[in-house]
Amino acid sequence: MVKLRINNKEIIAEPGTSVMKAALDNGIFIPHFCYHPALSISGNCRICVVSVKNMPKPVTSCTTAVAEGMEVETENKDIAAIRKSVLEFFLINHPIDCPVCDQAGECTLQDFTYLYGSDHSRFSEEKRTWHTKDVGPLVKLWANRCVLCARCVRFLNEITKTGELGIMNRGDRNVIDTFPGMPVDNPLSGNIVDICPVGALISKDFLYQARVWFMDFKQSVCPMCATGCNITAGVYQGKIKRFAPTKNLKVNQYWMCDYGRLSYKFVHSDNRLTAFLTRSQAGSVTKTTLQESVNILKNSLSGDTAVLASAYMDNEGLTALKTVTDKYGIKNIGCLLKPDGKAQAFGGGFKISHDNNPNRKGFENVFGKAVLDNGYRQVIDAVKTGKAGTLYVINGILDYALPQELIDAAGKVKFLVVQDTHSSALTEKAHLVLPSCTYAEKNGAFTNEQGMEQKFNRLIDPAGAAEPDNIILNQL
Amino acid sequence: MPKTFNAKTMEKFQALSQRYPTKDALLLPVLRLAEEEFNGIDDDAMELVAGLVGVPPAKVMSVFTFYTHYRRAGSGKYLLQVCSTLPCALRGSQEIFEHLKKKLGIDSEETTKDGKFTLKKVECLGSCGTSPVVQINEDYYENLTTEKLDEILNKLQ
Amino acid sequence: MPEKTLLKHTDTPNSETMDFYLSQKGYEASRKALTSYEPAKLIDEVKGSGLRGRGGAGFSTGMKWSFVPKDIFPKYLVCNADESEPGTFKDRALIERYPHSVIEGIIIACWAVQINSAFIYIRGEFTLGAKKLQKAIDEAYQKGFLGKNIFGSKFNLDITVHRGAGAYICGEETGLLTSIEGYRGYPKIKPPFPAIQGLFAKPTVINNVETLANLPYILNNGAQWFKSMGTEKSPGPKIFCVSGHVNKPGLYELPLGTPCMEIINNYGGGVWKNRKLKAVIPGGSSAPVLTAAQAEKLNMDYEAVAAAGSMLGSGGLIVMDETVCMVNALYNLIRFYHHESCGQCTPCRYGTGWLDKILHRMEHGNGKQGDIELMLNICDNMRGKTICVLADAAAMPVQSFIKNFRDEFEYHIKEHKCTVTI
Repeated sequence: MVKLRINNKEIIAEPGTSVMKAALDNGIFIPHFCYHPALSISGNCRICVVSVKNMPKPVTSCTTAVAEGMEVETENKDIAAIRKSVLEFFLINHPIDCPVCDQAGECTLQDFTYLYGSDHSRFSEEKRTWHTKDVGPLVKLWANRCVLCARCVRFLNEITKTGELGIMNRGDRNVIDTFPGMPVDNPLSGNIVDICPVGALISKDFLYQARVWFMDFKQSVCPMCATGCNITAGVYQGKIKRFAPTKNLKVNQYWMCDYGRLSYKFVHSDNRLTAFLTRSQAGSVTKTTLQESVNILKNSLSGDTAVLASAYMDNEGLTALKTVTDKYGIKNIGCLLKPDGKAQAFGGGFKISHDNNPNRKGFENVFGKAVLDNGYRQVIDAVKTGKAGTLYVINGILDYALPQELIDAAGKVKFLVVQDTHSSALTEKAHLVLPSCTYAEKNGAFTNEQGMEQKFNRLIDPAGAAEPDNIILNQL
Repeated sequence: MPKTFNAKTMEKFQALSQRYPTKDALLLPVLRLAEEEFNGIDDDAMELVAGLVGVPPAKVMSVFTFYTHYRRAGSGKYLLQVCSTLPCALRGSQEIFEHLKKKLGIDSEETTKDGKFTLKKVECLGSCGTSPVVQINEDYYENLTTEKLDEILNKLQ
Repeated sequence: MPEKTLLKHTDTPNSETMDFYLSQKGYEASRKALTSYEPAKLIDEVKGSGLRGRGGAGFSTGMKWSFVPKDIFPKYLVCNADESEPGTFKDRALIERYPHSVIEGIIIACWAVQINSAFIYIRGEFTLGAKKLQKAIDEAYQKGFLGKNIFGSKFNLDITVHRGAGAYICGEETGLLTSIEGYRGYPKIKPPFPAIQGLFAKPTVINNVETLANLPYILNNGAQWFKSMGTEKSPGPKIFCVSGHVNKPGLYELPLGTPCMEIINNYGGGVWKNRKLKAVIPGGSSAPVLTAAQAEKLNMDYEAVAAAGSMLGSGGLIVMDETVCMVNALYNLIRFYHHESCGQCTPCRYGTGWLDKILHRMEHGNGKQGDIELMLNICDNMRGKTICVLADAAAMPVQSFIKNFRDEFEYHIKEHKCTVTI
């Protein structure tokens, strides 16, 4: 290990670490555009200069390795002057369209200019202008705003290895572009929006949706697969407006997939269940309350009840359910699972899991492997053969159509209870419907495929009268 | 229309593959092969090169557009590259360029209607001792005067 | 005129052929190197000759070789034939007219550093040169001077001609390596230096064409012979390229240290059209411009040119007579650097373009008060702030033109026209 001092703070770093990384890892910020901890070093932006004792001039911290006894200063007059000049160079061609730029408020160029820049421009020539165009289903490029840090290009070369973007031309004609007819449409495309330090790459989904300074930001966990990407949700006026990945080196590094990124839409979909409902034998539907529903349910549960839970339930819900099944002596318990997808591995170790369920591990921890693997079949058989008087389905799986055999079989039970987030063919048949909260509307935890329990936070108010699974179950 | 190399070019491609330790390194030489066979490089040629070298087409385009000497598709039969950098400029390259502009009725980066000539003002061709100089396709024409240039152009069919 | 070495035969018909080269003791030096020199001894011999790189930086060739680790394979040699510095055209003559001297130099260098694979990176425009080189290489393979077991030894060597495609930055040695590797010719961050981690991340020697062409003569005639020419710190013959306003532009092989005016007047035939000398750029377009008065006192060796505030660089003298508008000349040069900046680093990418726009405006009569100070400040913000020295190469002409000819720039701004009217 190497011992050095940055701003008089003693720091210990691995040999070969850059001064930039050593500083950032120790809570010392050095301005940068092109540096990204997950990507190769490019050294092109030139703003990350620092002073190193006994070096003749400031050096870029991303390209300078730590050395024993090194003394680094990250702020002084010389450095500030260089940073000011680099920002001036960026701004000679950069449009001052911040009022209509989606990046405003979280723009590195804005922030650094505020810190180091000039309050007037010495550039009186014509600015060079470039294209504004879609470069993929999720991403739009404002090339005029680009600072050519090449993070996007490196991400697509090194992480997805799809290479859809390149820097075209030479010198100040350099511009990011795609090859004609080959858009950025890989499963991780949205990440280039996150790593773009300016407003050049913009999410079409989030475009003009909300000013970032009016949004609330909360931490959550993406439920769309068993990787369990840590995410930051941006909420505006009670609606989720966007998801972006939160750094977690043990889980998702710095990334998330596009499917997960857009999955907040399921929370806000039109077919959310928002009320407790009873359905008479004749088929008429009546609105009811949580308390009334709990009473009905209590009277319906017994040893011959079959329960189908899901691997979209959080650990709190599963634990509460275990208490209920134990209390009523329920033996027929099964797990609804969203079918597996294709596992996808990317550069740097990021993975999209084959398992499309966020909490298969959590279910296994509570009910055991046998129930996880065989329970569903048992429940279906019990229902088909009339052995189950009541069927209690607790679903909550997002972007999912329940199996037809379940829908068919459910018609055979005397009493069908469905607790779910969205209406379905099953809720259309149910005698009692209980609206439940999605992960976005409650606090809870999933256990991901690595066995890590990850807590998520309530992001927004529940849809209508929806309640968390455990709140309902704890009353039974 | 997707392009393919003919057998002779493919032979050259195979020979090149033996000379470099990485596939990426074939990119510049293979672009030359495409330039040679198709008399200029367009998007289809870039896709072909991308496939052969095993890199994304955007990378080929990014490399192709970095280097200014590759022949672009749609160039005239004769590409006239007029050096305009200081040592040539001191000895009359501007006059040569203006002469060509007037004579051919086209500006830099333009092609005559009959597709015979493309005019291009370029930076230093490394022939400063024999300036002014014009590169016509592969050949250098040095110590030029407008009269000499007229003679040369008349011989080009 | 002193006796020529490198250019002795470049005007002789068929000088590019193997037969001719063999008639001039061709390939004896490389044979001698392989058969009677241990690599380490050969490096010492070249170190001892005092040969300095002829590409522009003037670094000791033997020293450069000695930095290469001995125990890492493969290693590469790259011959830098991307001659692109405006005012420089010497390598082209060697390549087209005497390619075997370059190939033999490569064999000697590769034996000294124990390299089995060499690339010649030749600028894309030199189509003829690439063909002549390839033909000469083919001949050398046929003779057994290249390929497996050359000269009957156990030493193998392959040479590949790699054509550039129009990018000045590829003359910068790491930009050149990136280009061979199949990328945009972006210079690399140093360290690591090419000697340790160069082409394909392997130890790499990069030598200029003229540097390599010197090697056969050093081996044939000895280090002492080499040192008998030039100055103590800058020995050996040097090819000077004379361009611009002289009666006889061209290549002149002269000892380092020859007075600048002697080159212009005695060899270049004097300033043309009986005009007066106004300015000289002594070492290719990046070298700071000198006034006629400075040129009068100047000896052309690395140290003396540096002491005068410029650089010997590649040895390209660009001569300007009294009719030259210095604003126009600088505008021309900056347009070149703007065109050629690779665009990797922020200060160079935007700085060259900005300078171009200001000078364009000034040249077209729209200069403004403060433009001079602004340009000088932009240069300060570019120099030493980038991965490679192209930013410096673009800034040095601006700084020196303004320093030495400031009144012309002021006149342009004030009067919106030129001081010179011819």
